[in-house]
Amino acid sequence: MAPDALTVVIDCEGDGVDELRTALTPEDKPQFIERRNLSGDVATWIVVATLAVQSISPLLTFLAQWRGLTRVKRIKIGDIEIENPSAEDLELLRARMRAAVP
Amino acid sequence: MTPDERAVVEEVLRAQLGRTARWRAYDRELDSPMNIVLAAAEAHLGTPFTVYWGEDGLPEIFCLQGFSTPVVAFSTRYVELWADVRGALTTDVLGPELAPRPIEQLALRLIAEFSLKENDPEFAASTMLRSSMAGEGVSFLPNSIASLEQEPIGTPYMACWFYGLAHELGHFVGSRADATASKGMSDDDVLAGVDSALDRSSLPASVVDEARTSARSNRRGYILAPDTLRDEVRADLFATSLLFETTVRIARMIADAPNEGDSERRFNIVAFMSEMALSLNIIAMLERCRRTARHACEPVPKREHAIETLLHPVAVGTRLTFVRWYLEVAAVQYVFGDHPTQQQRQQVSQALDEVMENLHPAIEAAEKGLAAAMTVSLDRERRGSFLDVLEQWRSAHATEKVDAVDVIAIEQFCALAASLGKSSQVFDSMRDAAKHPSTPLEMRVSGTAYSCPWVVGPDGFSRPFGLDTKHGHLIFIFTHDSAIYQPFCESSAELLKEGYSIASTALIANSERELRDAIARHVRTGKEFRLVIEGSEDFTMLIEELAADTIWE
Repeated sequence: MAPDALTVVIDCEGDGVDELRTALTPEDKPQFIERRNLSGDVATWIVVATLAVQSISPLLTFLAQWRGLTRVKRIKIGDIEIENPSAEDLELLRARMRAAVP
Repeated sequence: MTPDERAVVEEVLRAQLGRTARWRAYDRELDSPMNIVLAAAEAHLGTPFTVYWGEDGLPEIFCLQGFSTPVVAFSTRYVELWADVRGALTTDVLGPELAPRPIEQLALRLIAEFSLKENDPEFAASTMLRSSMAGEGVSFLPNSIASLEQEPIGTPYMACWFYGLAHELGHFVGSRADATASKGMSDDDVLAGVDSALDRSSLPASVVDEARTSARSNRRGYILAPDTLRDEVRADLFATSLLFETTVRIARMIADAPNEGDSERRFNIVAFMSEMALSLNIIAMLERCRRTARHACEPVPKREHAIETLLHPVAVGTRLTFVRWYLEVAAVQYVFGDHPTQQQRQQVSQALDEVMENLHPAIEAAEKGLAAAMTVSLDRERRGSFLDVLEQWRSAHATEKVDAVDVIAIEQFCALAASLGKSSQVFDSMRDAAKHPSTPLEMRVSGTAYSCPWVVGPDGFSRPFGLDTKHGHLIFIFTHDSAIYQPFCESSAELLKEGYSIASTALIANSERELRDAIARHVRTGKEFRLVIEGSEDFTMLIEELAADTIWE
């Protein structure tokens, strides 16, 4: 049986996270994790949220149309993982997920 | 931390360190030098944190804030690489002529390993093979975590194992951002450090001018912005002071223990100052290799990434200015107490000058070796294909057995690639070649096959053939069974300068984007081009224009 909710993990560069915050609601239980290392680069962000399956399609649409998409280095939804996703990748994923939702 | 939160932490670590990396929360009950460092850090920070010890993954040390307690990921692979770089920088058995060679070899290995995180398996595999061919017979044996555990617990041990960890813990100080932590680190103080580091650099004047202006704008995230550097300086100062305190403490514990007498374990303030300066240079080298890997693998490199790669040594130079200031103050107090005379201060300052001076030849050799590795990695028009590099590697080993160290290094590299989920035929091929260098190469690939005319020329020049037309720079791609491919290659060859010729290259791609990225990685950075693929309307129209000679300006 398909799960009702899926964990979404998004790795995002720098200040892109500010706009990403607006795409998630408190019901998604988002966690914004700041990652720093020895390099001296600006912190990157890892956003972890639990989304109802029906909420994933709008999120993917937001990301596909977002001008900051190049700041997304990785997205993982359930077991599907895409590195450096393009708008087309996200549209394909959205279509696939919509088909999977009964 | 709740079980749910722990599950999220593990999900994040899996993504950052690799699927088959192993990690565990570090046992704080162990009687170990690490726990002495962690206890001292916790006392200073006044806040608990969790350290995850990671093995068999990417060389990464990083901190995560946003959980109920902050997390630091500590990778043993990073410690091994730190020791490798330190070994190359501190060797005294090679003269100035030979010293850059093993550093070039090591830098190529680091670039290859860091590039596994990117999406260009061909580059990663080729660079690993180039590393195996570099060095011209001079190379260092890589360190292993097991051997590093047996090293005497002195200043080099403490820095190698814990500088990165202590630096990351220092980022938890930054979040408090109180007045004391920022003392002596005003925007003007940081900018003075940036100016001084820029003055010492050999960067072109235009780059220096742009860097000064951008630093003063304090743009969020800019590598030389005071806000960015201040965070790193705080973390460096925390790391330096923490290691000072704990190295002295451990040295005293060892001195008090029976069977003491090992001079390597005694605390020496000059050796400590030297090690701290060396540590920042090790970070600089590791990070430049990481940035080179990122830049080399990006199909269209971002200008900001290129600038950051160029300016990273300046950022580290600025950080070193502050670490030096701290060392001077701390060393004076350690040696002469709370009320030193002016002469005593000068004595310590001179000792620090000598420390920096003594490091200079090693840094110079490192710069040469690193520059050679970066040139090879970043010159897209001389990169060649994976098959070219593999062929060179096989020729180099045709008459002799492959060194066992090389075979192990290649196997470990391929295992790391697998752990990161980077499956590619290139890794299988290089592993097969390392085991059986004389066996003919067999590659099994999946995807659509294309043919592309390739220009080859002197000094390893190798890039896709392109035409400058009124439609821009066009690169024609043909289906593998194209009837017009050969005639196109023959006519194209006539357009080339003497010394250059056309070779045929097969490309395998699963999408147009993949094909475009593969081509882009062999075209000079900044050069715009348009891909024209056989079967498209564009292709038919442009080939007709080419035949009618109306394609030109």
